[in-house]
Amino acid sequence: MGRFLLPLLLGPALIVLILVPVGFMFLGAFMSGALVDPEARLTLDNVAAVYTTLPYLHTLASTLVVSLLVAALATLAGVALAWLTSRTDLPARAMMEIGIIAPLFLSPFVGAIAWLVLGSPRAGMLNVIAAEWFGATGPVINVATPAGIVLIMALYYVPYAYLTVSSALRNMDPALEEASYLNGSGVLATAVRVTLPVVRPSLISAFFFVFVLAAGTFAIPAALDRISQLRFLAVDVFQASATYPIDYGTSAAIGTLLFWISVLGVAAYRFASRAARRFVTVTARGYRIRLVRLRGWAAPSVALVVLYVLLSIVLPYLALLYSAFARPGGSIFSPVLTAANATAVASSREVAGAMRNTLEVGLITPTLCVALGLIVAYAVRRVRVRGAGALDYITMFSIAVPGIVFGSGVFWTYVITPIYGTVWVLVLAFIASYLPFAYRISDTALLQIDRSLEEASALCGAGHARTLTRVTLMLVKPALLSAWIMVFIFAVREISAAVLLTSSDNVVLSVLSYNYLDYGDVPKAAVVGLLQTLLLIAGVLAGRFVFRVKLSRQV
Amino acid sequence: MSALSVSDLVVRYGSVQAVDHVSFEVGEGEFISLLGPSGCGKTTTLRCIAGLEAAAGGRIRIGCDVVVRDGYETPPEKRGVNMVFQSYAVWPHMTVFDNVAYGLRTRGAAKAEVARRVGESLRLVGLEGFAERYGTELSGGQQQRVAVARAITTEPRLLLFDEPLSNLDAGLRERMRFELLALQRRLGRTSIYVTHDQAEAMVMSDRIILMNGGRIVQEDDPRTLYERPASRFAAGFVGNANLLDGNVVGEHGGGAFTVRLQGGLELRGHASVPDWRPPANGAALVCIRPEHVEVAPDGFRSVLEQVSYLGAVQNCELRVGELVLRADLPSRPRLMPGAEMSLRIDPDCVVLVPED
Repeated sequence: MGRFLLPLLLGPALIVLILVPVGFMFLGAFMSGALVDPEARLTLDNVAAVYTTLPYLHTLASTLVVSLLVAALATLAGVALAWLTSRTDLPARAMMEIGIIAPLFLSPFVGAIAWLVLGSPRAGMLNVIAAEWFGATGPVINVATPAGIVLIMALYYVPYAYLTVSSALRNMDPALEEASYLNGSGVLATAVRVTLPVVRPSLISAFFFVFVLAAGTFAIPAALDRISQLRFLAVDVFQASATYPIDYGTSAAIGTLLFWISVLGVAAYRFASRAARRFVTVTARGYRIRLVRLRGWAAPSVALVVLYVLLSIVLPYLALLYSAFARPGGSIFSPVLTAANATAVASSREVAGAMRNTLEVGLITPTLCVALGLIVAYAVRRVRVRGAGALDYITMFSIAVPGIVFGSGVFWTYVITPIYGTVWVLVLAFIASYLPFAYRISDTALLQIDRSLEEASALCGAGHARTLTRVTLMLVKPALLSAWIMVFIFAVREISAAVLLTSSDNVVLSVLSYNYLDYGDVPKAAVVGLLQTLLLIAGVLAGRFVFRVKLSRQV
Repeated sequence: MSALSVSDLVVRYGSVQAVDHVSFEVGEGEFISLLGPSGCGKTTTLRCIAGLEAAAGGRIRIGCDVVVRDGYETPPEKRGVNMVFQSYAVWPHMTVFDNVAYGLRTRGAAKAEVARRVGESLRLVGLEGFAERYGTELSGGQQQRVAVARAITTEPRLLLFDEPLSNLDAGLRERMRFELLALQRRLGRTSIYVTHDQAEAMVMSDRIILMNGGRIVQEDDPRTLYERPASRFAAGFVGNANLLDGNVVGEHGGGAFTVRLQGGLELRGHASVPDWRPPANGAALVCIRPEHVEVAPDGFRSVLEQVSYLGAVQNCELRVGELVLRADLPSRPRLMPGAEMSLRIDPDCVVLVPED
């Protein structure tokens, strides 16, 4: 094998997996119809319409404004929470941190369904309660408004900002802050004049990271958008290809617009991350940082974290359980509980099929994705193949491609092949989307293995294959397991590409609950959402207790 | 009144006693070192003085303010002390000028005064012309100077140093030792310097506080600490030593004794601490520095077993009966293993050390 054969195999595989779908989407944007359509011809109409006319530019503007607001809110909350957990004597810090990052492992789409149950203007549980207890006359909360969508998206993106900022805070030399104290600055002055400026590059990269995620997101606006009038690019990509009049070309053209936004966001993110590395300073041996004593502020701080957990997890899941298990039409103050609806839904043929499909996708995707990520990382890092730089670039490229854009590209690429309509087409889209995660984790793991460990094996007489299987693979195994779990979670909760690529035989749980929601059957959507959540929790628990993976360090 | 008084300081990490009833005083303008192996509690003690670490018990007084007393802790920013960190802790988002000016600006000093005093500090540490540079653009040695300038600009009551030179390479480290010392002498600031490098402590300090296992082992000026180690640990940690077991066979008053070493060699020496009495069985620990062993015409006989040439001296292993003695002899003439040599040790350099 080696330096020439490996890139000859990997290069084309990565190109087909990642670049070809994006290329086909761009081709589709210039087509008047689907590729199977014999009358389809090349045209500039779609692109011209999407890039220059009002309805689309309006969608673009609202997508940008919403994403910027979401990024700002999530970063702000992330910084505050990260400072509390890494710099203060906040009680039960480990538990608080688990609460803050827990939404990462849950589905934002399921969360959005729950918020629909909680906060829709008339029937929303919170509004009913407010009317009953406090005599409120109008809705006190309405999630089906632009403000509601922004707040709920921000709620589910806080953990991403939190992880970026808290790792920067942990890696910061504590002496930088101690020097400020000794120069006469108090806690607040030190936080504002030293801590925040030093971690500023990571604040900026957290901001753009959330911005890219938010701009490409489908789940939350799709769940809430049906009653609000806020247009979102990712939703429009889907609507144009799924509702009459079906217009695949326009769908692809909107996809290209979304692609450019994402590319710009990722460029800004990379720029900020590079700046962050420039700020790395010499660090002394790790003594424990002096924790700020919260004293009287401890209770409000705990309340802040508890409020976050309440809003992002506890209330939503209570609402889902209520809507799945309470008899419809009853009062929420004295619900009549029944498992009839839930068991009926859970045992239906549709759900059984979706469960099987989800499990198939959920097991195949991470396995192939991690294997491919490891091979690319090994080729780039260890074998140092020719063209390693290009392999790295193509693999990381899909970071800049939103899931729905991949969905659109995979649709254009595979619609005329037999795999279209099977779970494999989802697997292809998901692998392309999540390969950068698997690759990065494998790469970091390989980087941390000192070469001499492998060289020692060779000098003990082990051949190449034996060294690889007995030393290298054994050492990266923990990292691979955590990558597997991460991709499993991503694949099980994914909805944007899945909803675009769905047909009768490859419906997964997320798509099924979207369909129920689309028919207006919230209780059924809730049951499916809960089933999906059980699967995610099983994955996290397996990772934590069977594979002993530290998930919070890998995202 | 002393500039700093630490009494009965205790710091615990869980069940580990990191600092175990440490007490000492530092006089106005004095330069003292806290010396000891890693984990001896010296850095923790320093961080307690700065207010960066909480004490479990004891008292600390700086000038006339009690800053630590049964659970009460003055926060670090109100103690009027400043510190030079091992990692320099130069703020990467500020220029050299802003770094040094930080403390003055925190106090709300006037612009003109800030400019004047920062300029003065930068001149003192030899960094004129670097004011507009960023910390991360400087070399390690230059960053160290920024850290020193920043610490002296606030005119602290105590200047604390936490192993400030350990991240520098050897040559620079030696030069910085003398620079720091000259600066301290010039400013006359009371300084407390933590190091694990005994040479550094010897060169710089008026007084060395030697610590081990969270306790103070000995507290003396460098010469006394080296020549009169009061314990086996002090003798072994500060400089090289032949530590030999012997028996007291004669007493001559004034702390002078004759000891018989293993193999029968008898030497005259004296106790390192006044009023030392040999124990009932007469056992004594004898400390002889290698450089105090000399070649002399009518001394005791020995055979040279091994020799390593170190340039300035030759490091020899000499056998005296059953005894093996290390000696640093002048590098000329060249010595060969197997040579028979006659040796002498000045009774002033044979030190009887109390067993721990």
